[in-house]
Amino acid sequence: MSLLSLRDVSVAHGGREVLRVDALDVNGGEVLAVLGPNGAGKSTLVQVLALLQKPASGEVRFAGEPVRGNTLAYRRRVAVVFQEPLLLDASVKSNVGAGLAFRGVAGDERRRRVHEWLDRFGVAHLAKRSGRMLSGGEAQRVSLARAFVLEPEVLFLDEPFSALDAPTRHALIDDLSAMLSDTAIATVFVTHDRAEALRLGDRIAVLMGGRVRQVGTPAEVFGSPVDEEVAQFVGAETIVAGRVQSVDEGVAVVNVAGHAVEGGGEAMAVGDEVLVCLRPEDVVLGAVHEGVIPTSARNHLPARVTRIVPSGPFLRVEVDAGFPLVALITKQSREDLGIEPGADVIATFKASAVHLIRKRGG
Amino acid sequence: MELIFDGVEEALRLIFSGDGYVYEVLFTSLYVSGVATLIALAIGFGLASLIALRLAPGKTLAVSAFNVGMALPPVTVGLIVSILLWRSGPLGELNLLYTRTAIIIAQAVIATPVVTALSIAAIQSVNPRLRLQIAALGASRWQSGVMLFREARVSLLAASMAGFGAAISEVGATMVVGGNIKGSTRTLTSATVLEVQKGNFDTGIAFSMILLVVIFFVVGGITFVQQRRPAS
Amino acid sequence: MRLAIALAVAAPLLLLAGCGDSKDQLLLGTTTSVQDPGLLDELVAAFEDEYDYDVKPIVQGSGQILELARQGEFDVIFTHSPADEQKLLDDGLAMDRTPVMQNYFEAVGPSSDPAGVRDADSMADAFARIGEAEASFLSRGDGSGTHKRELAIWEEAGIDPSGQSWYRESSSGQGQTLVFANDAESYTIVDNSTFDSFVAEVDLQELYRDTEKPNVYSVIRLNGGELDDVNTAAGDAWYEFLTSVEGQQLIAGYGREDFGTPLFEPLLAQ
Repeated sequence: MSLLSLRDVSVAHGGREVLRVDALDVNGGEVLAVLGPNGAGKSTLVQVLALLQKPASGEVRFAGEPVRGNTLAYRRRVAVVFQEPLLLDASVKSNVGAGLAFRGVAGDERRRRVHEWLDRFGVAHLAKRSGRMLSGGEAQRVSLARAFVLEPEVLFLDEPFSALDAPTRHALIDDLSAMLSDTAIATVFVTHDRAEALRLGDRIAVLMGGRVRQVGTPAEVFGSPVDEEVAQFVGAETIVAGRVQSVDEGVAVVNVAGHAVEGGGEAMAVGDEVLVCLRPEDVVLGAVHEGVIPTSARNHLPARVTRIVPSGPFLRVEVDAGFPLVALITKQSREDLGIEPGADVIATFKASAVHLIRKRGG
Repeated sequence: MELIFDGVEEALRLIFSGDGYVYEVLFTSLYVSGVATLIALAIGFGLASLIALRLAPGKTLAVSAFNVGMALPPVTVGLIVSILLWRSGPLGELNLLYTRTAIIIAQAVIATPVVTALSIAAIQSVNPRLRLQIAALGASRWQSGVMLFREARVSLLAASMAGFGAAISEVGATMVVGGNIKGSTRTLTSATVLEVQKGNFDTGIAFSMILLVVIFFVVGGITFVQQRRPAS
Repeated sequence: MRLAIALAVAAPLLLLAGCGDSKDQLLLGTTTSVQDPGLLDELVAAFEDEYDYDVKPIVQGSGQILELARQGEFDVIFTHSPADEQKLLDDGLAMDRTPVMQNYFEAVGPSSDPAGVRDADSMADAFARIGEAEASFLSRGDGSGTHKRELAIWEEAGIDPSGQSWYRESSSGQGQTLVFANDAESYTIVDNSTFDSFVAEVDLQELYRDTEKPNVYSVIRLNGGELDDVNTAAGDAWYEFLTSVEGQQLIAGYGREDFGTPLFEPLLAQ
């Protein structure tokens, strides 16, 4: 049985339904990452889960029981960290102690716990500073300590890193990740950032347009996006249309612009209009003179490099294989293979890396 | 110009000659305006939290009503309060006209809209997401209110000062309902008016100077508290 | 929140409850010309020494005092508007009217006296001279007893000063008007009590004293039968005090010490 779940929840603002969740479950001890673009209804979802706003209909169940009436007791079993640190105009100590004070935890017990969590988040030295005089990273650490000190049964994190610069964010994600494994608090972690979701989430729920579109393990969600929109959002960057030519032992051969592409084809039928989704990291580029590298990969397509775009530590290489295809290579590979715009290459990828989505209405 | 210097001299003389009359007037002013401000704060803070936090429909109307109330002509307030308190009026039985209590009532009526309107603005100026965060920290409704007032304390103190300022510098209603009786309802402002009427401009300025000093200390004191760093 | 509301309701009630005076109150309606020369404070202090009342003197223009007296807002009044006072008697709202003291109206002005008021043979003549000379005149213009008297004199002199360039209104108390008149070197009318208590501060001169029509101050006891709220016992006490030998002597002596001359004449035989 899940620890926390939503059933048939609907939230409307000004007559427009902004969130509709038929079912969503958070299990004890897991981190459920809710991944979605801006405006998807992520914050609304957190507020409903934390019962900071009451849904127009539906219910929130905690430990199997619907939470009804006064939400205070429930709110005192959970904790929320928002995107902005939202510190009170008081000292760091008072900020971290505030939730305990509301719960009637006083004296030495409160002091001890406040100090412990300030320490664990590395901000004990700021205890006497004003909450309004901190840097963004310090403030968010205080805000996290303020949530963890409550030892909540469920922790809600609403885009807690998105206002921070990259080095600060990475350091904090590392700390938070360790803290979450240590405490095993059931956590709902909301983000628009795929890397964060992958990093922290045991499971990922994709929220788009106010609906939960897909829930699954990272591999499930990233490897098998449920539809085109989800695929585009979670990052299968090659998405081209094709038609299923044949299906054999779970492998479908799809005609994409006159080229045969093999892909995982369970539940596909000959003649289906499909989308071929391929993540750039699954595409390997090889030099033409090397010929076909002996691998288990089923797809080997001659292609011509059209564009090279740096992407973090990698290069994003766009090639024309009769249809546009994107690959991710290292700078080293580029030198080794002499990949330049106009160069001819062989694009190789496994059939299992190809995700086929039956086109709606197709 | 010379009159002002004479007034300052007269003020110093009145203060340091140990003249009981001045201290009596000073005490009356501080007492009636202090109590009136406390009443205005109790009502104003209560109404402001209701309006800012609870009232959904009619909120704009209520806010405009109190904004208009800030400009309530004091003499009108004084007149209405006196008519109510007249022996022949509906509250005549209480025998309150021409007492300090009558002044307190009038000044509270004048200061309450000021405190209320400014407190609504103060509470509304607190980041609404902070209200959400306070609720998320497990605050009961009462605890939320306390935290919210704490967050808005600087602006609420400003509202209190404005209320006290409106009360202590008020003269029209004070004279009408208090009767400017020596030894009981004569305040710094009504004493000033009396002296001016009698043509004793220097004494009038002296009372005004004392009033300014009082306002300086009270407002200055509150400002000092307000500007302190948060306690650790 | 609930506490705030409770406080809001309780605070005024506590205050109201805490303010009963032990002594009976005496609400006295009187006018500025009794207060401004300082006589009122003396009378009230002496009265309170002797009688067990807490006096609340409400000092306003005669018009306002008489109007409020009609509603029974005072226990007794002490004013100088004979015509209006008579109306109160005629309407059965007053028991009696007892003149207890008087002073005199004076035309005062700059010592150069451009209108020749010094040579007038009556107050109306004095005003007529001012009007003819179009000399600057400052009126109280506030509906007070003095203002009413001034208007009556203009009428007697056959002059309508309103709107004339030389005629202005201060809309102020007597003392303030004197200061303004002094600055503007204007003529004005004032009762001698106020002027005598003020003379050291201005250059204005007394130019003509109207001894024919003294300015009479009377105690008017109100009719408790008609006006329910009036505390007639308190009114009687004030009446008794002002008509007593002690009260009359106090009036007779007032001003000698501070201004070198008595300011009011007592009217009752001693």
